[in-house]
Amino acid sequence: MYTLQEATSYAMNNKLKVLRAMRNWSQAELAERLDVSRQAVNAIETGKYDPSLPLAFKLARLFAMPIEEIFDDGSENHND
Amino acid sequence: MTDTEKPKSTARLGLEIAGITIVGVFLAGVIAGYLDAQGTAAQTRSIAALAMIGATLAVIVIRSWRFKAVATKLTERQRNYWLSFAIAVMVGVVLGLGIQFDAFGQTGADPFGPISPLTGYSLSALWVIGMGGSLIFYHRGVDDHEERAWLWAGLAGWYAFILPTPLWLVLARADVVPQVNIVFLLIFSMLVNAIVWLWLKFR
Repeated sequence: MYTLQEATSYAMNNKLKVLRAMRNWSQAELAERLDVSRQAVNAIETGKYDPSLPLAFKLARLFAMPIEEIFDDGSENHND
Repeated sequence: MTDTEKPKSTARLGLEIAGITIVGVFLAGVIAGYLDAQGTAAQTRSIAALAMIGATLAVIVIRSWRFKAVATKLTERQRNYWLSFAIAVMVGVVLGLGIQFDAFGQTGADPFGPISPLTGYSLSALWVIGMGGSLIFYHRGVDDHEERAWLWAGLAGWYAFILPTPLWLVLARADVVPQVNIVFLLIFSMLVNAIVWLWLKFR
């Protein structure tokens, strides 16, 4: 059970900032490619929000990587 | 269209719309004042002022059409999103000005006084149809992140309504506080909603 603060700020670790930087894209450019707002990209990168499954798949397709290589929930039981 | 062209065109359109709105509202005031000086009936003055505001909106829509090229470069999601805001702003402007002009026309002095039944029916219909349409476009155009902000803000706004309302009702029944003021509760709920939405969207 989370408080409102926890529930709205809990987020997984992700490599979005690194992947974006490797391609030399600004947050606005990445947002345009994903058809979301720049604030959405910023919020994912700073861990303030987790994207929905459709957006996570969109990110995975854009970076040509599996979702679990972009996002990490901190659990070690990946093979359960 | 380059990255620099879009904001420039949008800013110019915004300035033009602001200018047209100021001129339109000024002319509506002049017409209402002139008719008042001529001793015209209050309802006629209200209709004239509302017609002028409607004409102003028509000019804004026609003027905006020139920037169709900008709009066609937006994605469908972005078009729906900005269209929802445009409709909401127009509804808000017409509602606010319509109420004030009509009230001024009725009393001749008080823009916050009572309004005529005709204006009441017209503006309430505009609210339901206009805001209903705006919300349909908003939910088609909102992105993943903002949708979540909207949902949490909606929940916070709902709690801000259902928690204080019974409390106030009970205390009012006990005659220890004044009678429940529903407008105050609505504004409080909307304020909480807006704060949470802004926090989650822009933090």
